[in-house]
Amino acid sequence: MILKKIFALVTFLLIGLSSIAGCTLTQRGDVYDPSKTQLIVGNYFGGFGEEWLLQAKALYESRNPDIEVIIRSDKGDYEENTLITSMPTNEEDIYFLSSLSYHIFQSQGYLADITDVVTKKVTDTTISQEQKEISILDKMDEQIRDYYKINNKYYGIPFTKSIFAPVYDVDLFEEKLLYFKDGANGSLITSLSDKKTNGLDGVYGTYDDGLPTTYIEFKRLMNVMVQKGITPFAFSGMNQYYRMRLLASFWADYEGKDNFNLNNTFAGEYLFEGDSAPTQINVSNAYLLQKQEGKRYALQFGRDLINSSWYTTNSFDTSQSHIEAQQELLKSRLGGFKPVAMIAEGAWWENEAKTFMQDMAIELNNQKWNYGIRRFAVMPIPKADNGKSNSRKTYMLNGGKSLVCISQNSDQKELAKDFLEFTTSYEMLDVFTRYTGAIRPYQYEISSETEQNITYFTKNSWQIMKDENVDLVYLDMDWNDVKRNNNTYFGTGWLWNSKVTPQGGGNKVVVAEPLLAFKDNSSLTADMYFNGMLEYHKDWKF
Amino acid sequence: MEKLVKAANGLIAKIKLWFYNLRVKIYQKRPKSQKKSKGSINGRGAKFFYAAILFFPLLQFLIFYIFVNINSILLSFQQFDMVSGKFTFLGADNFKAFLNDLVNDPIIIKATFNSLTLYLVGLLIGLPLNIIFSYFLYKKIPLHGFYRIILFLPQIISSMVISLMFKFFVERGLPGILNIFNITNANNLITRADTAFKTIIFYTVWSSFGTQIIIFSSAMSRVPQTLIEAGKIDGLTAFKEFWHITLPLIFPTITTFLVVGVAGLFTSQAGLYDFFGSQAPYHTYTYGYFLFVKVIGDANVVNYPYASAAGIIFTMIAAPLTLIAKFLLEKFGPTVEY
Repeated sequence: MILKKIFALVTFLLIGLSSIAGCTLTQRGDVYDPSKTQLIVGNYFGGFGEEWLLQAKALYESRNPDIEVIIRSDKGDYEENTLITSMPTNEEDIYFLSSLSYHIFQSQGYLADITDVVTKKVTDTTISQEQKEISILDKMDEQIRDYYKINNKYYGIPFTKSIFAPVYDVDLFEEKLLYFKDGANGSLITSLSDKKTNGLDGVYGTYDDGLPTTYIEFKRLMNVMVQKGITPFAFSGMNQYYRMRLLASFWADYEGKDNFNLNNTFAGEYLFEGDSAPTQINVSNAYLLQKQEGKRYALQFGRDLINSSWYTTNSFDTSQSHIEAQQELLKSRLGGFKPVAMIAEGAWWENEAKTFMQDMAIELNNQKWNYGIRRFAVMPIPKADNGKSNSRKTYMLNGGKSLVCISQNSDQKELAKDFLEFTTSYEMLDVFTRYTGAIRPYQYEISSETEQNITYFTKNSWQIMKDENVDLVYLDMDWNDVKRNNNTYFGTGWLWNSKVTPQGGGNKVVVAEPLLAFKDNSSLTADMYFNGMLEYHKDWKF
Repeated sequence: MEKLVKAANGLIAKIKLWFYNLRVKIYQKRPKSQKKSKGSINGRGAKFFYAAILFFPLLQFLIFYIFVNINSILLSFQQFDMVSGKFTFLGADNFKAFLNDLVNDPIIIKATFNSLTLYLVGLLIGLPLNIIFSYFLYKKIPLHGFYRIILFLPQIISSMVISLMFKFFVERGLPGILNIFNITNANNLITRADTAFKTIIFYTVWSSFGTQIIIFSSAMSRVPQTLIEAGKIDGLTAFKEFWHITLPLIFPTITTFLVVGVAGLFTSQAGLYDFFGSQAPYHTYTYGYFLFVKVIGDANVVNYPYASAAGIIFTMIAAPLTLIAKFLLEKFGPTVEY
């Protein structure tokens, strides 16, 4: 009987313990120094990695010996659909996140009020050793400051920004002479010593020399590539995100910053094609933005891309991830492969592909394949042939939903605020760029040490972002309650959802991704797809 | 050697005797009231044991089934208010919205068609194939052990791994193989509008083999051998044995799968999330996938009430259908006792 009771008790305990095994109320195996105060940092372990944060940790701890910064880097744990349930009970004090619905999390009471640290002016020393009394808010890119203000308070600040555009292999372009020759009526250079055209900025000797300025030139370049045995693009078939954003980058450049931004704000005016006067855009008629001509331009590019097969055979395989698409580009110049010229990516991609490039250099015993040695750059978006593209260069930015925030649940809020302030100092902004190759959405300089350490691609991105003749516009920022309350409808559905007739006829079907739709139906034109977008959204309920 | 064995046996006997004496002493020292007879299943200790075993499963059932479903019903009458961050009462608007979408939203209309197609394929092709394969394994055809393992593999290995292997094979391996036979239109089977859902259906039927085969084989193994032997004496062929003896005798098992399959019509995702994540093309949507992506996307707490209402409407359709199916199968199916 005693044995039975002992057995019953042990069984009870085992079942009980197994039930609470999934709870995260206990430490996650991190080793702590009990003599110090811990600050737990949750880091979304995506393209930007954690190296910069480890540098931040080392520096912060050296200046605050009684503090221990614990970095937890993960992907799944710090995605929005996990955090929506886990954040209230997580141990993390501060988060660096790739994407979060800021207003939803704030309304749930998950985010601490950080107005004091965001607006407080502190003495900070710039890279050029100038001392400034400046706040985080002052440093923040002006166009997004109001986004983070809720009832005159701040509960988060942006983490990153990144140009999303075609990225081309500079080494391949030089090897295969894929630049336009100046004064040669659209011909390409025949040697690297030939003078290149002056590019979209009209200035010789800048980053866009020799690159296509109009869509005709762009098409010509793509076709020349194909003739030379080069495939223009490699995509991820697993993730439509990249293809959809590639088209959106064409749309954004055509429309320009103010017109494109109407898709975020639903407030402003827009002159539609064929109208004599602009239409006032508001929430009740914002669906009309589906008629923006920039979308037609982007769709025409998509149609041409499919018609001319400017993509690798794996580009639409669901088994090809974005990492594999990067690798397809990176190893394409090796013997036995068909060279690939471009991928559609954001600034994080090079850091993501860093290990692969390093491995290539080791395996091939040649440093020319290594990260930091290979050269990539952003392809400027060509202007439409109808002459109606916005005259300024506009690049579309990713990262509109990135966030740095402090958990309302944290019992180290003041410490977290201090760390937040530290990571947004001029010194740490420079460190971030040095270790990630990316840029944070704040006004800052990079040091000569960083300039020597960053890659060609990062330098190119930096030049573009600092170019006064370039406008930057965010995709997917929820500037109004309608968008926030209906984030499924206004997610990718807002970009490209359309009603089209399938191959072979029949009732119209809803499609979400133009390139796939064009691939499925050779008779589907860009205009049909364009018209179908307005038809899809015509039952606008807002 | 003999002496060693004897010595070892003696030692073991001594150890056993020592433990026995210990138990006797413990028993003797206990007060009279505790000295109950062994093996009493109604004793207090036994009741405590049963309660201990059942406590946590019962608690989990109450929380994760009863409470969650009640909460879901309450949620279906609410909406999420972004400003306050709370759910507020909305009435029946979520139900109206979903019923409207059910007949007007082209995505849900396509999901209806796909879900029905998936169900019918499972019923008319998948289930018979499972029964036939189970019969072959039950009859121990050559290499039946190997086939059993192969057919059960998709159930053992993670579904993400299986779907990844399937994707790689269909997208990279199969076109190359078919090319040898001059069949060149086998590219992008998973993404092409004309082949995507058919490929998904094939995957769903193939990956569901394991569980059904195990259960059907098990049911077939309970068929009395005396019946089979008697039948063989009377000249029973393999087909007649299957049709007249095996199939009727496993009909209760078939009934179970048919009844459960009706509910599956509204919940099956057809492995779409494994293939596409939350970005499946609309023309492949099923009911189950539609609801799943409604709630797992970016903090889609605003969609919870709508999804709850949809789930309740599906339940109101599925529940009577399930009961009707069960009633009809029990009424018109063969009655067996053995």
